[in-house]
Amino acid sequence: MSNPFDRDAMARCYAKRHFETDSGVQQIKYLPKGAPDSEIRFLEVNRMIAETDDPEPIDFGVDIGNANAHTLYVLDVTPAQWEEIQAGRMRLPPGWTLEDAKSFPE
Amino acid sequence: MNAAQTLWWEQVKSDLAIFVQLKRTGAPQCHLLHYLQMATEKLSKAYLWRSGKPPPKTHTGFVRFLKALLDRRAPELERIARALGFKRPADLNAWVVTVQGLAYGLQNIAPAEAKNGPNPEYPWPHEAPSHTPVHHSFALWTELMETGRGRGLMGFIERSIGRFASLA
Repeated sequence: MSNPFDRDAMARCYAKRHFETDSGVQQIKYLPKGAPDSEIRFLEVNRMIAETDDPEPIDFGVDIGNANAHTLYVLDVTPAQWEEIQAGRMRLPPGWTLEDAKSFPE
Repeated sequence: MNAAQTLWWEQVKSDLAIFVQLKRTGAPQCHLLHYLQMATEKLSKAYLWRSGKPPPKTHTGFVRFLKALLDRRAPELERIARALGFKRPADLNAWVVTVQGLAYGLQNIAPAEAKNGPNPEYPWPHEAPSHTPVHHSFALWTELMETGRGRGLMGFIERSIGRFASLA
């Protein structure tokens, strides 16, 4: 049976919800390049969080053990950290890249 | 609920029980907020362990829990919403929007998040202390105790912990 999971569609759905339910989120970068087919990677720029030295992505545990099973990782960064990442002074987690990133809101 | 979640949940329940005991004794706000913040942070970590992977040690506060919960599949969210006292997932979603400011307040009152300002554990600012938690009146506490939104959030926290098996 084919996997009905549509990664891009799900990413849009999650991003919409995150903007609705978290006023701290200023922008979301969806980073599909290099990610496994069943993995959604978000970098969320959040003005409400405190800065930590080495932010780590969090597995939200969204969908486990069925035909649509997939993983949503969210890396929260402050606006200042986002500036650092874009300037190449702060690294993304191993295997993550901004190449081919899609931005929300679109 | 997996084994790691069970261990975290046991600790969450104990934190909440201590909070309730302290509240009955009229303990200062700082100690009540300290236990409440710890309980919600551990609730978040207990929940995020559902992936089977350890959540980061920091930045895993209460708001992460709320967001991750709302991202569950529709059929599961139906069940979760009912367990938490909402008729429909849309009602839970709409309610979360109304309490997100309070949820952030609770998350960001932890010393590591408080940016050298009011927190329930240490005098501030760190370099030249001018306030101590035990004598501070926390606006967050007043809002949690004296507004409908705050009392609603307190009830939600208690239900999330008490009915954790339904959402884990």
